[in-house]
Amino acid sequence: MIQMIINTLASAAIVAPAAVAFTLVFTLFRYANFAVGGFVTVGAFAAWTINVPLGCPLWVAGLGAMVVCASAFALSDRLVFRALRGRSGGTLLLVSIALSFVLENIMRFIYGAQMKGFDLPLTGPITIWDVRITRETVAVVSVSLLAILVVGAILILTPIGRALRAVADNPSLASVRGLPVPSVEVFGIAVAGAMLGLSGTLVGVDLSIDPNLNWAVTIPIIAAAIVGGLGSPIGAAAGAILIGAAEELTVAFLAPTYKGAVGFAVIALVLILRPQGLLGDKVDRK
Amino acid sequence: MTLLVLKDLRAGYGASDIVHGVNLELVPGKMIALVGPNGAGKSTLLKSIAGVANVTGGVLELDGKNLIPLQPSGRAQAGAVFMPQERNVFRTLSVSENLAVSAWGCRDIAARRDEVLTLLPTIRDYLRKRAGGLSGGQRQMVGLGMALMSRPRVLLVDEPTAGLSPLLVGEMLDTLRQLAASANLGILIVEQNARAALQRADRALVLVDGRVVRQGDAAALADEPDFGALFFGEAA
Amino acid sequence: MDSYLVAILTVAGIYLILALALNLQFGLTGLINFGVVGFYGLGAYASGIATETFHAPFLAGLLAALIIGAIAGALVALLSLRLSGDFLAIVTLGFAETIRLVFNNEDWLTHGPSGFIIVTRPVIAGLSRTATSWMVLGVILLAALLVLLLMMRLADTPYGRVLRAVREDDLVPATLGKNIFMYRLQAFVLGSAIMAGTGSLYAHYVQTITPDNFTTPVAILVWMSVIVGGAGNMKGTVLGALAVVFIYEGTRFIGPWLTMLDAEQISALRFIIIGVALILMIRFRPEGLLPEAYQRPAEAASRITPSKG
Repeated sequence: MIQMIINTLASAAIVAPAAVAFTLVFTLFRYANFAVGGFVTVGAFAAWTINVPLGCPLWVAGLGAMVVCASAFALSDRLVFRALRGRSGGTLLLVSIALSFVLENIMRFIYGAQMKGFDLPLTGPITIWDVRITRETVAVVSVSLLAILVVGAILILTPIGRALRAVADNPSLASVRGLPVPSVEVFGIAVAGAMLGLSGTLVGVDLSIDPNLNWAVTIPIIAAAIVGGLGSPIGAAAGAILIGAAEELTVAFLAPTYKGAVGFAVIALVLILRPQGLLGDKVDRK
Repeated sequence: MTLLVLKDLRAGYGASDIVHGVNLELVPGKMIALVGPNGAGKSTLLKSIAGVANVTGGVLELDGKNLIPLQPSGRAQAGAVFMPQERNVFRTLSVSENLAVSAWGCRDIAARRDEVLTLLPTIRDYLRKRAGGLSGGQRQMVGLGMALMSRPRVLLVDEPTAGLSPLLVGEMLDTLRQLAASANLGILIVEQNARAALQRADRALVLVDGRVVRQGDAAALADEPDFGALFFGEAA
Repeated sequence: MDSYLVAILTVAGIYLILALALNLQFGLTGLINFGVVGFYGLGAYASGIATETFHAPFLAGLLAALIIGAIAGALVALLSLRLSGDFLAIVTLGFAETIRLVFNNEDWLTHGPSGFIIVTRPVIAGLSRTATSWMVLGVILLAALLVLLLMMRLADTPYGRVLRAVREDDLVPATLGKNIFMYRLQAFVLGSAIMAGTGSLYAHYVQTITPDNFTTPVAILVWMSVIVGGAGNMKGTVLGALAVVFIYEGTRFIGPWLTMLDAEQISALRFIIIGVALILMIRFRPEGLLPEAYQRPAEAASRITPSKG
């Protein structure tokens, strides 16, 4: 039982930063960016490149992956999505799926299909009251939690975070109130990109890194964000825990091979029961 | 001394103009009302000054500075501050945050907020609430407070009484009237309640089909016998 | 070379039918179906299981595929059609992924990743290899032609015009007393059944199907066919499907020139080219090569009346 809770937290910790990123983009631009998994994959490979061939410690690799993903995400917005603002949600969805497909294959082109792993020192698990927790799990969960708290604090406490929420709420009013809307949007995109890079690094600690990560993570990320209500980082994190738990339960009591379908089953369920998600505000949709 | 100058200003959204050459001068401390029938281009004129609609010709200056090349945010920073008719608060932010975010880039947010709360003291009562949960009248007041946070020179107010009860209409217009005097603002207001607006404004322009058909002292205009005809666009 | 040409044309025919069905759903009716490969795969396995496990003739397999495709389409539609467009997209995508997991995991039924072997052919037995492949091509092109004629006919009827109205604005047909939900449901079910039928044709053509035949790259190619040709225009889809298959198959020939790349890299490069081309197309020519001749009500209106002041 406790072991299941730990597994749930570990998988939620990987998904949560990316779900926060998906939520941020959704609140800013009102479209579902399916390329999030592609960027997580890019982040995982970026961290691996810094960690293994370049021989830097993993925390440097993680920061590097965040910078790489923030830049790549901002670049994708500049080159692709900015020109498509105002197009239908379906068009943007299709474009983001195509982008995700392109990113996955760029990784395949550069790194090949072989699985890769970080260069981590072997450490024994910690045992507390008969429960075994690996040091990696502890690290992954704490880093993820810290990152989400930092993003939450930026949004609530800082002027730029306040401006970001204002732009997400009503961009045309933000503009007549004198806010530099494009710069605020770029800031939001960069924060989202950094979260995707962080998810990429955390995923690499837990699983092996290969281009097929893309679809494996996209679905839980989006499911977590939708379950979380597409409104706040806390909601996204809660959604990640819920999806993680649903996956754990499926593996334990149903069929492990259908873990991949859990995300969609939960999305379908949420869409039927509560189109606005579990937490967060009802989203105005056109 | 003249704050805002419009000379032969033409404006619209797409290919065709909606405002066909308007001249106007606004001085500090004065309030000018724009009245006229629906679709006369009053809101478009206001929005073109704010940068939300396109200026297609003429002169638009604030303190001698050309506003036309500026984006909406640039015009706001220059002092021409627009208060939209609808959706004029950030609904998911608290009232206090709404005020703070409207003074983007200013170091003295707290001082400005105190200033606004002195001018509009009723806002104090719901400072911590979410703006989306306010009543219509409260929301308009917050919208006004947000506009004041950037210490505007000219306030461009689009139908501030839309959806308010008759009692609140007079209150809102009185507030604006007093603001013009106490903050030494120039106010340009589009108002459906034409008589109520003319009672408070210094001057008024009657707009029909994008052209000024009558202008002058607001009180005198209200007393003219054919005012109703003008307002409803039936001028002979 | 001849056999290669036959193979390309056969594949082009299959993509064409899938793209026509998608054009009915997306182009005409505005329904975003990212689960094309789900219905396609479902039809392939349904038909294979009918003919091999239950020894039914090919036509019974095709019929089974059409029926199962229609049922699956109805279920997905009932689940999500009332929601807004992007949620339908997410649910259909989920459907395709889940279906693929079923193909992969239910070995007793589908033989899993090792492949399901289908002996039954859609043509008379006992012909030479070459003759059989030409005959199969004929069957697939005939099916494509039938679907094309059906779709072109449909697009021109009052029914097609209602579907367009549903796409443009939900309110207009509603005020005309049309039941929008039923129209969307019908278009989605018909499209899904055709996709499943295509799966049946494909299964009896390749004769070995694995879950990997029904993955995202196929969906991307089908979507690209519709977008390149011009959403809503059936003739455009013919052009689009041909263009996409020739680009895709054509990039096969860049391999020998780039000797420093391995097979994995060349395959990745081809997908990069396809994906980038799709994004560029949507970015710079969203109406496609052959835009739909129909004028959208919103645009038509904006040309007549200026915006309100």
